[in-house]
Amino acid sequence: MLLFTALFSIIVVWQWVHLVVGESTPMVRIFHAKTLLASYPLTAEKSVHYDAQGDVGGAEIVIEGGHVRIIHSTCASKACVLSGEHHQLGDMIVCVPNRILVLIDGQKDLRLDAVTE
Amino acid sequence: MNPCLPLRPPLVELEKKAFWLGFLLLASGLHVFEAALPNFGPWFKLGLANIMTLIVLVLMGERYAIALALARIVIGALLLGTLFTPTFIVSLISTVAATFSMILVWRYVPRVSLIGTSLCAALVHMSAQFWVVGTFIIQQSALYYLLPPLLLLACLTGWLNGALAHYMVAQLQMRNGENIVGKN
Repeated sequence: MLLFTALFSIIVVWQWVHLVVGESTPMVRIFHAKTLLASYPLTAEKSVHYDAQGDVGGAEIVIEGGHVRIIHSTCASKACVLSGEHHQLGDMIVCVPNRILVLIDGQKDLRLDAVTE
Repeated sequence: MNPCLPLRPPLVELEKKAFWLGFLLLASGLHVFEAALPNFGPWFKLGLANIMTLIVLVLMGERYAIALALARIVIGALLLGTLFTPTFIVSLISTVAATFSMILVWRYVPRVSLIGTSLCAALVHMSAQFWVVGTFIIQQSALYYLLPPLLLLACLTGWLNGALAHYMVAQLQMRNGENIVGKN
């Protein structure tokens, strides 16, 4: 009972954080371990193809139509490719062998349709 | 009898080892079967192979359970081609943590059932997995954002595996005319 109460509280806090973050512009951030490789708006008009270099080769990331996905990876399991398209704030794609993280998070007051690399 | 020949181990001991090998084969098979299943989502697995660890823990003891968990991870990785990759390290550390938590709960928590033991192991497995990936591999705290919903799913799979293990242990013991399921 105690366990479920604790987990329920965690979920409520998580939902609250989700709502707060949900008020901002969704951005796709691509990391290799601690390093931020690139950052793109999720809803950019032009589609983006990004080749992220990883530990066992790399992964090809596509941002298109408000969705992000990994279309190719050099890892053995391809779990990151099979996880499919993601579009919600807080969603992430992780490729453990390549140490690549693709994260959708929020950015307040974004005025430019800009790209930082 | 030739005195130079080594003594044959007792039949009970050999039977126990044969049973253990049978459970190891089942656990390895379930490990590979799960990897072949469609992806239910990142980080999420049913953990069916843990049912065998639970059964071995109850029927054979702690040493056998740890040996089974370790052997299953290595054999599974060999079959899947992931030996010594980061995925293997994550799997190894989280399985060892889950098995030790299983043993501690089963041994020291009074009147705990297999369901409670399995639930605890599932939660520890999920948390350990996040800790290893978050600390040594991806090194991003944003990763923990996924942890709460996955802990809830781990509760569900832990309960399910515990219930299945309880049923299987009860069936196995009924055949042997014993009743040692659950602690009294």
